[in-house]
Amino acid sequence: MMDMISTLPDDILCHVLSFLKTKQAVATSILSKRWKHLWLSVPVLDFSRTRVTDQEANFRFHDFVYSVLLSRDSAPPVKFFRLYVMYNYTQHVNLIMPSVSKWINFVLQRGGLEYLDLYMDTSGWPTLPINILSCTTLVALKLCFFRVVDHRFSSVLLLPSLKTLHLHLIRFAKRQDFMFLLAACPNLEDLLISALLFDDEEDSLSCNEWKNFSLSNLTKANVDSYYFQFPMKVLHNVQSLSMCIAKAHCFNDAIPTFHNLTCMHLESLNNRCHFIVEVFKHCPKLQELYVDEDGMNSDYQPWTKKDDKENWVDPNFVPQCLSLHLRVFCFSSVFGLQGELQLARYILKNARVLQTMRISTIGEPEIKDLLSSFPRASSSCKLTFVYLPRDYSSESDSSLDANETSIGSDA
Amino acid sequence: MAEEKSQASSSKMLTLKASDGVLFEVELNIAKEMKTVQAYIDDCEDIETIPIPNVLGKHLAIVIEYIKKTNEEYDAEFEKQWNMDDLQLLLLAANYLNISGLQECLCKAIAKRIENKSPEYVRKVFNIENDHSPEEEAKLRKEYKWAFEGVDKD
Repeated sequence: MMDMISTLPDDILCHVLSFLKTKQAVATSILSKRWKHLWLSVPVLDFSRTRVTDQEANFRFHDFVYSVLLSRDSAPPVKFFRLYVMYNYTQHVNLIMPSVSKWINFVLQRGGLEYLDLYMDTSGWPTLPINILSCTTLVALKLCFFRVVDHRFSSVLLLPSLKTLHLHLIRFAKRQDFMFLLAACPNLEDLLISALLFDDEEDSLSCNEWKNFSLSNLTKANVDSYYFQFPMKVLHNVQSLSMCIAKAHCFNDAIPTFHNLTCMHLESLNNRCHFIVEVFKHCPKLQELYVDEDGMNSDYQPWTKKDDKENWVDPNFVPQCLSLHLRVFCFSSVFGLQGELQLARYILKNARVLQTMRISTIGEPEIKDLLSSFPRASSSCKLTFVYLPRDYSSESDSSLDANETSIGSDA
Repeated sequence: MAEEKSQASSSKMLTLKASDGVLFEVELNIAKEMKTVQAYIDDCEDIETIPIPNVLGKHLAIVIEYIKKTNEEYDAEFEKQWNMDDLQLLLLAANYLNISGLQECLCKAIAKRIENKSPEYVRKVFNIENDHSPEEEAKLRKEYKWAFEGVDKD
């Protein structure tokens, strides 16, 4: 068959190239004369999953990035820049960052950058090039493993177009600095924060200063609240929330009402089942609730009946979401403790429109019969059990021995 | 999205005629997803049969099916079904008919098929004739050395 692909217009071929890593896109220059300059017009620079084997390879990689940027000098600006580098040896950050900062500044100066995703697995914390935080065209920013320090910090923050912010392993000087960053993103819709660290351990957010701050356009949030007690009020408009509950989390401490929240994921419940009642109280429109007793920050201890301390008491009213909205409840890493069973019973008893309750148990397979016997407010509720024998050495969710039984809706 | 399309108030039907004479009767709103067809309709309002001279019946059928069904899950499964030749022809069809969603899906699918493959493999799969002089090719390989390291031998 003849060469059809080369008959397509430039912009279509560039679009195909935009889905390739830059390494490969550049290599297409040798396919034929038709292809020699196509890669230059691709507005995507994707250096992700770059694995550098040794110092020599690192020099070649740096040379490559410089060549690419310089060749593109008069080309259309870069809209998408992703740099994700892993080192097979110990690469000190001070030998990397000056070049990386130059690359980022080069791209920023051309203007038009919309998507930036950075991670370098160096030894020592890279300092974030601060210009990134005043890029007015940026729509999505994903950062992993950076230190944010700059004395100009609060004066340069401006991210009016930013809709997505994902921060993982980011170190700030103070909690205030993180709040200033959020405040610079008034149009944020999707927030993910995980493992935020603060140099100043003593500092706590002054309540009055941030009392009325919220991100009104935020629809989706994923918050790891283990190291940093996130001011929940900021999230009050979200539709979807994933949270890891800190050990020391106070239940009533300034939890706002989440009027738009329909889907919630909670991790590290650690058998504090009464917390779920607080969730129901503060989320009147909740439709789907996914709870994992376990999670990244939970206590890895084999629980036994002796640890069964929670004394469950049915609340004296039924929260609105249970009566009117809750359709799905999934409860994972369940041991079969009293608190857990009572919670499940309480939900079955009151959730009038519940369609699915799924219990993944790592404790007692016998609880299946007990739970199936509890009265259900919703006649169309399907109860499903998955028994996953717990292997503490494995962190993966998928199990080899999953034994799933499903108990359909009973009248 | 598929539901919206089938519930559209306009039930006016149009006939599309592929390059090999195969006829397809489609609803107006489906046909309009092809911007080329839309332009045709805008020009001649009373048209009932629109010729599609560049696209075989086989591929036009696939394109119409795609427009009717399209959603994310369908996209993911869609591209797996076709061989490289078909993917290219479909992309040509989607480009001619000006259907941006399908173009996007196909560009991505084609890119995925050549991911991590050597330039030699890519040339073979697309039937691209290398008209670079050996010196020119050597110069490019040297200038962007790192781009040619560690590629799948295929």
